[in-house]
Amino acid sequence: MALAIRDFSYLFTYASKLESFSTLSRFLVAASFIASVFVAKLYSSDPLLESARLALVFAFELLVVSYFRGLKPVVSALRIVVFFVAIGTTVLYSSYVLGWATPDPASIVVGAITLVALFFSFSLLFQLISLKEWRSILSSIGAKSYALLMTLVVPQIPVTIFYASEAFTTVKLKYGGKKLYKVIVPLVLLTVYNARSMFESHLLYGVSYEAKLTLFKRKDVLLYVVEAVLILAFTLLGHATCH
Amino acid sequence: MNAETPLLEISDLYFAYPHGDYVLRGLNFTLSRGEHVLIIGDTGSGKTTLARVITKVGKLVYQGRLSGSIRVLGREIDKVDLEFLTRVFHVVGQNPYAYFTEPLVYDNLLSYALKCHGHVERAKRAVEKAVEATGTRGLLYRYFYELSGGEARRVLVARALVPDPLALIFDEPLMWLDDQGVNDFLDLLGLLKSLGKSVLVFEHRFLPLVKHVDKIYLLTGGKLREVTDMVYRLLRAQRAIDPKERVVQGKAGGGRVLLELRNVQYAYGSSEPILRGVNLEVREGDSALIYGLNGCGKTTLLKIAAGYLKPKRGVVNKYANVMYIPQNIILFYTEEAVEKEVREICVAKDSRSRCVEEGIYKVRELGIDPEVSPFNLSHGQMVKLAITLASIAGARVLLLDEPFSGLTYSDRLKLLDHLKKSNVSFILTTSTLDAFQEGMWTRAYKLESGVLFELGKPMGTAENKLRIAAQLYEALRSGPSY
Repeated sequence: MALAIRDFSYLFTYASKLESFSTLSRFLVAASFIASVFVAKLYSSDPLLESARLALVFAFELLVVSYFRGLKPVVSALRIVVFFVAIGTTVLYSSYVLGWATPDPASIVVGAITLVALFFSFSLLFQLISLKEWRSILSSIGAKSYALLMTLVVPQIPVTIFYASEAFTTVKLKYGGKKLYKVIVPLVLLTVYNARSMFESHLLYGVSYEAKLTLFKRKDVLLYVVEAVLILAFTLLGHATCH
Repeated sequence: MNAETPLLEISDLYFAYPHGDYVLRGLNFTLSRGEHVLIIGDTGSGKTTLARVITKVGKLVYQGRLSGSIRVLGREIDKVDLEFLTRVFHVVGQNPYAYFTEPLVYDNLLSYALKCHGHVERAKRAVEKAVEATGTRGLLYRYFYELSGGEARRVLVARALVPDPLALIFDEPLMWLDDQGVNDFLDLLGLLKSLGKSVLVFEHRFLPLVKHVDKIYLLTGGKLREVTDMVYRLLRAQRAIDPKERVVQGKAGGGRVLLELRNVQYAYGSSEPILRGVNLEVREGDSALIYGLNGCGKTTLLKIAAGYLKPKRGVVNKYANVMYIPQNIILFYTEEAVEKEVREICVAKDSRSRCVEEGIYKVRELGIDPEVSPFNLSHGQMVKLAITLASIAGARVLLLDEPFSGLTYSDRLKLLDHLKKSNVSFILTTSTLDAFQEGMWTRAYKLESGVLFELGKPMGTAENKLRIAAQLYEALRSGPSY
């Protein structure tokens, strides 16, 4: 559990290798993955097509991330899938044992994949675009305060996740494996302490809003090919199910 | 303003947080150019507050009440802007991770350099210079949250050098540092001296720093008192009083085995094993010390002993309740009042009224009001309370992960006394032997390259340093009449 929590933090960091691609292409890839999840959810005629499309999006997301970032975030993502499927299975069997209305297993699988694909798509916004690029984009559209907010929050997510891992160990032993929800109290407090230190640091030293945003680099072609293949596969799946 | 103008002159300074008593009361202080000054004092004595006041944070962020005069390079602090102030002083705070605004170390340095210098090429040159001076090149492409406390602090010093300030302020820089990290920090002080930078260090773990600063002050009762000569006099006197004592371990606990690890191996993912063939045994009455540098696997070993991590190879046998007390002690507490902590522990133990009554009694014995929030206690009190709560929970073996971090020498000694009285067996990890209490340990180990060595008797040349340090500190606090 502790290790899974630690690896989870890698879903909020980016790699410098990304800079060989333009800002625009990376933004478009992240945005197209998010859009694909919504399209799969809203415009699929049956659950089978919906899950097939979602699985396809998720597979492409893993492909892109493993190319840019290596295997670590991929492993984290797969752990999330296992986690959500485990929750679904538990709900299913609990309902069966308790004699309640049993949810349809297919809908549990579709729900789990939707959640994971959507979550992973949004995390791509931070995995593919650096914070300095976000600051530059947001400040150029007049949203400087949101840029600052993002700068103060996003880098601290992994730190907080590390704290969570430590807190789980402690509370589990303290209460003999019970009341794990209580980890929230020290975590909130530590976050407040951190926020205060960060505010002091920001007041004194501030942040830079300058970053070079690029519209095209030669390597972008690779990303656009991946996107084109995704769209093609997405459409073909729809046709295959219709016939 | 000329070269003789002091960097900082404080006279008759009073400062209080809103709705609080005055923390600083008529404080006077001068910092000259190129001077290195160490300020020692208890937890809560006002060291961090003084750093906040000097940088205007005390007034701007905390809205504190301030009177007296603070002059920076001869100019009243109220008359200068923050930009001027940060060109003179750069603070490296207690929590190094709060200063990172980018995940990658290099991006963090470059982004800050861009803000300071405004031009990419100039910014890159400033980063290059700072990285070269601090030897942080190997850390540039790592994520900041993967750095140890010591590494993060080194990166922050590099960042502090980017705008080329005249002085650096370090707030408890040795916290979280192991012996190697302390040596690195001392090298860094040497470097700053050679660069002509002034340095102000706030630190209660003062022994390693004494010979590396020009002046030492004690912050007590809201005032600063220079104690440089006194520290040297006391150190000489202590050496004369205490013969070169060898560390002799106490008699090993002869009771039944409570916890044993046999041939334990552990690795994170597919990386190299962090623990290899570790054997460890805790018996009734045992007090075991595990020494090792940061990142050597001490915490992992404790988590395996606690049963939270499963070893890849080997076995862990627990014959009694085991409790883990983390280094970041705040993570141990989950309730808004100490009394509720006791109640919850008793509920988890399935033992209510008598357990609660006895628990509250034990808490009062510590001098802690059960109604207060555990989060409002001092660091030392939090650690001691955690030990008491663990014994209320019925733990027979305590696993204490670096409990000395953030404690004064006196508090460390009190903590060890409390452990002795608690009548539990324990394993305590430490990454530093700069203040080491002899005669306390029934077993002492060193963890290095994944292997746990039992240290023989006597243990190197370590002296009974903790008692000496604590006595020295108490003598300083009791005043110049010594």
